Amino acid sequence: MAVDTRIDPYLVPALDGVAYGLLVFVAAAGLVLCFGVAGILNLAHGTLYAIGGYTAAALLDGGWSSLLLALAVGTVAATAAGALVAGLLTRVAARSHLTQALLTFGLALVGGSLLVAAFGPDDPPVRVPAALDGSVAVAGHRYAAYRLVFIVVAAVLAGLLHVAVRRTRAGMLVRAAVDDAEMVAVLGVNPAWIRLGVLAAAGALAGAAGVLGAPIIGPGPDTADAVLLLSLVVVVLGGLGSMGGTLLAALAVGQIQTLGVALAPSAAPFLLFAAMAAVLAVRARGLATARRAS
Amino acid sequence: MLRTERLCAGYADGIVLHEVTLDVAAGSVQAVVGRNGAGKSTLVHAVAGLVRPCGGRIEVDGVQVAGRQPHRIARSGVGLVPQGRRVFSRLTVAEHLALAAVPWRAATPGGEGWTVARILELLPRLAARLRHRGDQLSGGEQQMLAIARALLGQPRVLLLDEPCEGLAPNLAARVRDLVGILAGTGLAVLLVEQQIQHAVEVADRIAVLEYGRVVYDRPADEARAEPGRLAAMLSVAAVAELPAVRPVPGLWADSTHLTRPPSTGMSDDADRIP
Repeated sequence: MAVDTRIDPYLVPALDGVAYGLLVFVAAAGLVLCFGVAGILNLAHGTLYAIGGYTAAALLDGGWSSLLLALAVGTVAATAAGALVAGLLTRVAARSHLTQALLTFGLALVGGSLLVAAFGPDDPPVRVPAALDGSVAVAGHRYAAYRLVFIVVAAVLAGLLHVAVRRTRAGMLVRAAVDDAEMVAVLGVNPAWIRLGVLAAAGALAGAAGVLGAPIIGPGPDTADAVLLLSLVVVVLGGLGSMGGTLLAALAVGQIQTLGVALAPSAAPFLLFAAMAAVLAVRARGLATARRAS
Repeated sequence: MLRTERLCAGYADGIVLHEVTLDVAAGSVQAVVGRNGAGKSTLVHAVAGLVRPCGGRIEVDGVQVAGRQPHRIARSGVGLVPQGRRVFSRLTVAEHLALAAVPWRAATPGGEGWTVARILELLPRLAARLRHRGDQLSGGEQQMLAIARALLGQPRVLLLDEPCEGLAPNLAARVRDLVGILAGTGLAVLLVEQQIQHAVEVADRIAVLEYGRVVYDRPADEARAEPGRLAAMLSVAAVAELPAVRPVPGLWADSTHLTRPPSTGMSDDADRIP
């Protein structure tokens, strides 16, 4: 099969960028919901991902059943942790973002320390299912099978999230609360339940991303910080409360982190933040932010 | 139905409402008028739970609700149509109606309850806009949507905060007619207005709020008979031209059966605010 060698160096990084971007999307979507709906800046969000990642490292043994078990355990554990954050935030939910940031930053430090105490200071290895522990041919190139499957699974997760947000009553509530949480309350809906639901759902998404994405962004002492940073960049770039903007921003971050670095390796350390500054200089409210009704 | 008794409320920088006592009976419209900053919106927000009262009582059907959270007050039977409409910009009209409709909430005792079908019969304009987002509607359509949203919560008390604000005169007249129709269904309506003309045309009773205090509270017939006094309190010149009688609602629907009117005349162009 003839292959255009001019794109050889860039095809695999571009595909990696899609996988990376979708992983960041699933991880960051919860943070977008937290900030956009509940108005909460949850700096412990990266820790929720790390919970999923460590769960994957602890439970994955190369079999499919262990993957399903890790997915279930990691998602449930991160959901519970998200709900715990919501509970602890109850009394400061109406306060400034600085107060919330301080509380959640403290929780992140405690959570990170507990994870290191439980799993050790080194990055644990993660075993993917044996059937996916190889490579497949993509347009004449060899590409990791797990990453290819991950792209499909993450795309399905993104689709399910889209359906949940657009087609369900809970999704309608979330979108309405992004617009005007006070008006949702006068419809008879308890805003505390919305906050709890959103933070728990954010935990579930981050936990699932942590398990499935462990072979890509693996667990370790720095994982929570790295994922939080990437998620914050996506939140800023995508615009608050916009899932379409979040996906766009996450895919852009994925390409910048992989294809961008391949194209301009010397700019790797600051490429992501230079791109963020450039986007914000042009669109201060992010790539896709809906206007409020006048 | 709704009673505020010596209600006091305000914000961190001071008390705005001072011992406001009002009674709104089922099937009647109590208008509260006043100048900017008189405390009208604070009154509505206090009843809806958006502002926490610092004294007095708020009773809905004899049940004290002052100090409850907004969602609990809404469940007690209080619907709010806020100033500026505040429809959800990202939700379509259909989604607004689906979100607001709470089939498990009991309808008004003896009443047939508000359903989406009944709402669309009363406000047929919304039926033609079901797929449009809140921020794609005209001001009049947004107002209709805000009213529909409140009605689908099956309220017994409806709070309307300057519903005619920013609307063209013909649309404001339709909103006033709608208020009369809703009161005719048994709702207790608390109508807050800055424009005395809007209030007098539809109210059964008129109160004037000045610096957070009720300085006048009379049946509308008496208020109409002494336009000079209202003019003095509100510093408006047009009070002398107040209509002598409350007009019969007829533009949209029969007030008893809420049937679709023969012609609403609400064309796209007519409905847009210039």
